[in-house]
Amino acid sequence: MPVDRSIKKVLLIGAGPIVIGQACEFDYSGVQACKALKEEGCKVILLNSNPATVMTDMADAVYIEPITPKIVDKILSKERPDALLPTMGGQTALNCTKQLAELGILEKYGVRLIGLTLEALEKAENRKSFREAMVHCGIDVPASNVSRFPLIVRASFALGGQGGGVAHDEEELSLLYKEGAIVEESLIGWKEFELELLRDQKGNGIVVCGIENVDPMGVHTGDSMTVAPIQTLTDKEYQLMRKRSFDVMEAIGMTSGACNVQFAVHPGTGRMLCIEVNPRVSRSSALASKATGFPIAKIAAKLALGYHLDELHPFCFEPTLDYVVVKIPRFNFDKFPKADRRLTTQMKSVGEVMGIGRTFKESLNKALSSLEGPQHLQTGIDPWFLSQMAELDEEEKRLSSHTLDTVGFSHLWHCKRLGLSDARIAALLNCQEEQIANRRKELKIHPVYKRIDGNSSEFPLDIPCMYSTYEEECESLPTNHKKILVLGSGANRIGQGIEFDYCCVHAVKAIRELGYEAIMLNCNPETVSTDYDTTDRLYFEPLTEEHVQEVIRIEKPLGVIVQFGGQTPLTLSRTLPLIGTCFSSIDIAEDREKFRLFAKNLGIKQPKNGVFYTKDGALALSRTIGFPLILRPSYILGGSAIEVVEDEAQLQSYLSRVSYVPPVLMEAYLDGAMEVDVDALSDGEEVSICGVIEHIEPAGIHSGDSMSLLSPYLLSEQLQEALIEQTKKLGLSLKAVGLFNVQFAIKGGEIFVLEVNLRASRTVPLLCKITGLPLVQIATKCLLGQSLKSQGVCSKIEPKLLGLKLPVFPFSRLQIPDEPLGPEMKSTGEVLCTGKTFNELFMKARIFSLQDKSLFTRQLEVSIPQPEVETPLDVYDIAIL
Amino acid sequence: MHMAINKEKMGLLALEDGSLFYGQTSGHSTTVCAEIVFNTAMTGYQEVCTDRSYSDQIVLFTTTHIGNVGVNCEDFESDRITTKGLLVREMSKTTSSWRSEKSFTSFLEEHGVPWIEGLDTRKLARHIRQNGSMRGCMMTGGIDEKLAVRLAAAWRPTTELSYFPSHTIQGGPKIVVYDFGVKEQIVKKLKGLGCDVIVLPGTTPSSEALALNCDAIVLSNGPGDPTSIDLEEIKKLVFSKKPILGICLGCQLIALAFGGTIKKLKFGHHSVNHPVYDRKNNRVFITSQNHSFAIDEVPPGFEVTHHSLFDGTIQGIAYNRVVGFQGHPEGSPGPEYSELFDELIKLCR
Repeated sequence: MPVDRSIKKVLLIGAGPIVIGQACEFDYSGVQACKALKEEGCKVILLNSNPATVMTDMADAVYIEPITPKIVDKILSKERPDALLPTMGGQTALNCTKQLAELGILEKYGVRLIGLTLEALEKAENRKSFREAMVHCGIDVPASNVSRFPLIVRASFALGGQGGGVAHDEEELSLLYKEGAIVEESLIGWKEFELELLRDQKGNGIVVCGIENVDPMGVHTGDSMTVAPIQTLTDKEYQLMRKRSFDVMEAIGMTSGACNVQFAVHPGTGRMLCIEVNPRVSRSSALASKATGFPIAKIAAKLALGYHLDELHPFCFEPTLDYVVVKIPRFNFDKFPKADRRLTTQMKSVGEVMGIGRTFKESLNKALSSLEGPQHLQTGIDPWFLSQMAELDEEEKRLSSHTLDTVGFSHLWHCKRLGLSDARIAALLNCQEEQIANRRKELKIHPVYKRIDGNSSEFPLDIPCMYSTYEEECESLPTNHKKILVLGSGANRIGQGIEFDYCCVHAVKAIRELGYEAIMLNCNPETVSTDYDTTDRLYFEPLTEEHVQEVIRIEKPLGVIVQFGGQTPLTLSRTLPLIGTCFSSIDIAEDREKFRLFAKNLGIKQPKNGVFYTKDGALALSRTIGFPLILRPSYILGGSAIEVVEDEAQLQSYLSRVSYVPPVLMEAYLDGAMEVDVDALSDGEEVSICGVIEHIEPAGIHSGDSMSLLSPYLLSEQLQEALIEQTKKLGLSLKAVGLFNVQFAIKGGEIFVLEVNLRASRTVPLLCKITGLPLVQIATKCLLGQSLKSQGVCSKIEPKLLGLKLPVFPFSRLQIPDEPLGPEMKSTGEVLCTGKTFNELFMKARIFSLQDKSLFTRQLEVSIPQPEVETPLDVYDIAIL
Repeated sequence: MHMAINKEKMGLLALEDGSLFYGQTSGHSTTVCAEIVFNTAMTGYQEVCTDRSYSDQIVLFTTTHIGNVGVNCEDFESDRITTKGLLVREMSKTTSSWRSEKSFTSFLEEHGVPWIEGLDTRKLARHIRQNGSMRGCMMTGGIDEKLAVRLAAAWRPTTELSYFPSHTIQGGPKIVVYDFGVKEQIVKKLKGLGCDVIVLPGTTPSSEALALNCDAIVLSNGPGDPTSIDLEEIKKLVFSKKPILGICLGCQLIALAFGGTIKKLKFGHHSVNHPVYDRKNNRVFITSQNHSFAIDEVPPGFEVTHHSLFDGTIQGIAYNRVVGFQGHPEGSPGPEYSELFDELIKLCR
């Protein structure tokens, strides 16, 4: 069947909020799908409950609503699309699609399913059907009639391995087993591989990328360190796996689109079993796309419309790599001391980074640098990878017997080729990172940049994506255009998630619109910002001073924008040629003592406070302020190390337990105060208020974890005025340019400033949605010299729709009970309720909380104000605001 | 020279155009000259360096890590190492595979095949892509740059190929394989399909081959310039009305025998990821390729059955029961295109 031109309007379902197992990779795939469908002249109707996604700015009609059959029914009746594309929104979209089909809703509106058949959905996701389909086609799967423990329990229609696990005895088995699950032999310790495939309706198929898990079977692939290309298979074994993977697609009735097939291989005998298939784009396909330069989701969307692979030039080939990529997951166990840190078949990581280099060792080191902190590695790793790590270890030992003076050119060059960062070398030589950077400059040791062309340079392809390595030829070839470097936000983690990628992508858009070249530096493979056509040039590099400086050296941009990537770029801002708010202002906002004095001079009230640098200082100070207290260290992310302490014993415990950057602010805890966030724009002369955000939870709970109303609900007009006035005063005095955010607490009619963030905040994407204005683009234009007035932005932007933000939490995914919320952020993402009345918002919040209880805290239902009357719910197309 | 290299173990690759690349070697000193081709396959180094089509060539592997899975006794494409030298980014110090019997480096050392590692292999591949295939000189041990460049430029290919003695592999339909440098996997594939395979040296007179009363003839792959092969004998074979399958060099021989022409490609196809369009079935196949020449003018009466989706080059021709395929249907390394072998068996009936 050729391209089906009768498909003119397509409904796309997104993946919902960021949770463990579903992160911004589905925004990346959704964005590509939107682009591909629009390229073909289709109108795109989008449903996604996650407002902080780039995809929700791209479709022709956009609904930010709960992803439930009932809501889809409403949207279908309103929009009447011809088809539904369910393969871009992860497990959420697949599960919703299954329900829609079962309820006859698709049939009711005559909506066709494209990119997936119900048969394939059932066979891929229902464990029993999958087994039967494989056995029927002669594809080996794990044995199911075994009784020797340990056993693996695999749940059907599962997200991130949820509901499955390893049972070591009868008791664990009975705890894990649920209806629809299957029990199989344990493959713990087997080698694990994944292939990313595309297939068209004619049966043409290609393997875009093979991925090898460094952590073997038993650890969820999302939690594994993974490598591409595959390193420990011979061609015969790889070809067999390749052929089998096409057979698997055929067996489940997957006729076109993207597919991920996972295999286990016994390290001693080579026995190869198919363990899983995902009939959709996935986290791995996002990684594969970034690793090869091949836009899997875009091509999958076109295949769904009926295209054949050979019609999609130049994408009908199998990429081949002359570099190595290493993905390392990012965990956040630091925030959940009660969680079991052992890695299992259930995913626990919250994000990932990818390192690209010419060798495994170099890529591994670059990935480790990208993590911004140590993470532990698992064992059970293939000897080949272990020997690579051992070689690195040996080199590090050799280096540590030297000093800066005894390390010559050759040795330093060799270390850089191994991917050792300046910081790491400095640590091993016991000197400062800066000294290593300077020594490199003296010796003219600089990286070169290679292109990620996916064909090992066999054919010239103009792909603007690069990685650094220490070799001879540099392929960067910077232009002489005016250019701006934008720093991304690195790995997703609690406190720094998709919201910042959203901001970066919009910043890039505005930069390009104004005729500058936009250059992006980021290391998170899941993101839209690292897509190949988002920026003019992309450097896939760790977000460290070393790598930023090297890119500046080669590109010579006019300046660097740090305010859209969250806290990570901000911490690098000290030595950079900033565009926007200057470093001394950032330092005032981030350094607690400087800010305390600054606020005092400005006559702006803070809760009774003081700063301390030492333990003794802390104890003395606590006696003058009195308990309970909040402790706020400087330069932090997502409220890490912020704690409320009730008494001296707790303070003692904090001081001995927590590593913090002094000065630490100690402030009186305002019990029962209301917290309000104000987001604002500034061009340096004038300030425009984008939103006054009222938290439902009292102050003391991290703003990221609070349910919040994007328009004031209880706040009096008078207080609103006062908040706005203080915000303007702070913004202008700090000479803020671009976006900034102020957090206030209100108690007894009095306003207190808690902190100022001279960067885009987490709520900016949400405000963009309800105001219908591209706030980040406006901010970027301010950074590049356009005034707010010239852009037609007034001093207070009014929302066109009411909004309520609900945070989602990972407690159930980490298998721990709900924890009380506090000043340290614990939520992984959020959803947005939209409506015309507060009543409607509260009712939608209830729908959310009922739809997936595991995502929300039990506190939620209690905290949501009761709707006064039951009103009929409506859905709102925010694209027409 | 911008590199940290142990002087005693320094290796030089000099190109005929004067470009120099430095890296590390295993240590023993030697000088070899040959044409350099780059192969972009990510697996299958053992198959590549035992493939006789690579005879008299220095192979540059663009994939980073070589040697990871060692060498095993099953994946040979001939009984020897055919490549004159190897250029790699990083040679693995350890081996990990349940089938591995020996490390790749000790295998190379045993056969006296030199390698240079640590050079900027991507730069070299790009250089060849931009400037066309190059003659090169690998010098390990006492290095003399000027001499190396001179030797590289002076090198001329030899077409001497050592043949296996005639041998028969028992099976069903009787197939004669004309060995111009045949890969083991072609023989294995035919045998796997139940064929009775007789491998004859490529210099065998056609009368001898036809006297064997076979059901079909396979003209194999092989190294070098096809125009240097005796076309008269080939003509007698292809006009015998027996089903013929020409693979790679064999495909070019068919074209030449029937009055077509061939051309030399700028730097050839040496990869396992090339999309080839099957015009008869309107399908695409990802194929394994290893050729420096390609069909230019199609012989009269022949139809083009396959073309490359990469650069449009002719990838398959057919006329009645004579079929030529430019790629490697046997894979090794790379994906198989077994439909071609199935077709040959059908033609035998």
